Amino acid sequence: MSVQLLRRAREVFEGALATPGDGRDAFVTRECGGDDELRSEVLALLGEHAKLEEDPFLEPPRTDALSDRIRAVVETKSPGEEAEARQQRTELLEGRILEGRYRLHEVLGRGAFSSVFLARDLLSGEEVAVKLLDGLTGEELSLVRREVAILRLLRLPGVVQMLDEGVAEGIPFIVMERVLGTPFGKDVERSWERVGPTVLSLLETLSRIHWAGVLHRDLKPENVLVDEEGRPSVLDLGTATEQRVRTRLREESELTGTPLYIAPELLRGDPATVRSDLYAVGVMLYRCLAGRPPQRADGLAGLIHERLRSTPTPLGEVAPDLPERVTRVVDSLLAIHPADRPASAAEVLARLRGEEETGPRLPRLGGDDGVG
Amino acid sequence: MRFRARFGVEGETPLSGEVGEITGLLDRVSAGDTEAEGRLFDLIYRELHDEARRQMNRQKADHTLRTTALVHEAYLRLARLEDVRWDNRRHFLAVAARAMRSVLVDHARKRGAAKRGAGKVGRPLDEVVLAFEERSADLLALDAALERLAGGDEAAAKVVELRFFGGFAMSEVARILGISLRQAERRWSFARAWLRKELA
Repeated sequence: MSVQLLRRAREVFEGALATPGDGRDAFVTRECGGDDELRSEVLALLGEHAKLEEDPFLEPPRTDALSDRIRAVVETKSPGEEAEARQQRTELLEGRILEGRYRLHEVLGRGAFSSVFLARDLLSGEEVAVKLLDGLTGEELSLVRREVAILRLLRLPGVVQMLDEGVAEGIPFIVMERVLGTPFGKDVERSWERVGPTVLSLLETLSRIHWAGVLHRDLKPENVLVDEEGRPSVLDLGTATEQRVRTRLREESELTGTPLYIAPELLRGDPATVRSDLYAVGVMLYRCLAGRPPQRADGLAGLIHERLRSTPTPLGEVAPDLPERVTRVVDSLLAIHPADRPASAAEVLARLRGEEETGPRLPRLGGDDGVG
Repeated sequence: MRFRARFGVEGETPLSGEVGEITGLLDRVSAGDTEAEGRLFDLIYRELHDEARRQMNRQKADHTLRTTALVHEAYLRLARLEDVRWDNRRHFLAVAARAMRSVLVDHARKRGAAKRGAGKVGRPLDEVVLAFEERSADLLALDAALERLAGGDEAAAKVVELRFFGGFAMSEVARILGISLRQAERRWSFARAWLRKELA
């Protein structure tokens, strides 16, 4: 077969495949003009194509799990490469005005799949934080955006308010209140007197979040900023989608962060609940009050192993000066089985305040059985 | 190297001296150096050949050999993944698929010669060739048909090389060739139909 014929045949063949079934014959006849050799070649190819639908001809064998994992690594850009690409992208954005309204200043932080900028809202004149979801792709983006649009309607005291969301340069972004503060547990000596008010306030906020039917899903010190008066602000309410993406990133690429605050059942693949949020609070409290994390292990595999199998040393043994009601609550938050943990943030609050096991009356917050 | 530890490749001796060479070669290949490409091809060819034999000896009972795993493991061994830019990795994977094709076709050729004479039977790579032939035709005939296809449509032949011999997913094929997934899929449909007709 001549090279010329092969090339023409390919063009017509591909054109025919892109044409709906009943128009195909007419398409081929029209394209081939009076060239019978070309026409019979194309028809023969289309015939082969139809037969090949169910045929493993030249299809690679199903890969096994190992090669899939290796593939994931090959597909994933190396961390350095990824960071470099994002650095370039974010540098391009500095100084830009998004949607005619938000002028981006410097980068405040970068996460696994987002960058947070300090920005000025030119409409209100206020400083805001703009989070660019620049590490996501395609469908993930639209799912996250839809959920964010819903979360924007949520207004709760103690929760950093989402103000707006949009798309700039093809990158979705979320506009949030700018909050000043330091991550929870930083620079706090291990005393309940110092940290207690912040913790109670955090639990009140968490109770409101749960009461609103939302789970945080990513509680960690960086997402609880504490101001000079000890008032905490919760940020980065995780969307379910975002969380899934995060998990995917964790599994595929080199683990993006220590899953220090992840509840054991989530490591097993169970869905998030109120009690998995509470577990994260438990880890934060243990770490802050004991001065070390509840589990110590080398590397991720070790940590997961520990977390799924053993309960940490009781906090009372590590920090004997703490009030017993506090150490008991923290220990209960770290129970391996969700059912052994307190059922709600309100219950934790009551127990920390020393009010005995909650009756029907939950302390001024209503209940929060609405979730999980 | 953390990928090694993670995937249990640890413990196998890397080809000392050559490992470091790969990165340099890839840079030269990216710059269009054909001599470097030849050298790279030789290195990968040998590594794939050895790795295939190792794997077949290890798993006598399981005759299906995972090409992708093979190519990727050779890759992990030869190159330090983290240090390699995508552009270089792309070249590496394309050359690796070509090397895989040569390993198999060369072996099929030798096997044919051995059958005619009184050569050894049941060498490990025989199984690999058979596993591939199950899903195509005689590898020598396929190889020749692919050459003819490449004469008229090089991209279509490349898609087959990457997908069939390299074992890559369609999305990877597209990425390696720098074309869209749709384009890669169309080329794949055409190449399959054309080769099927040619080999009938």
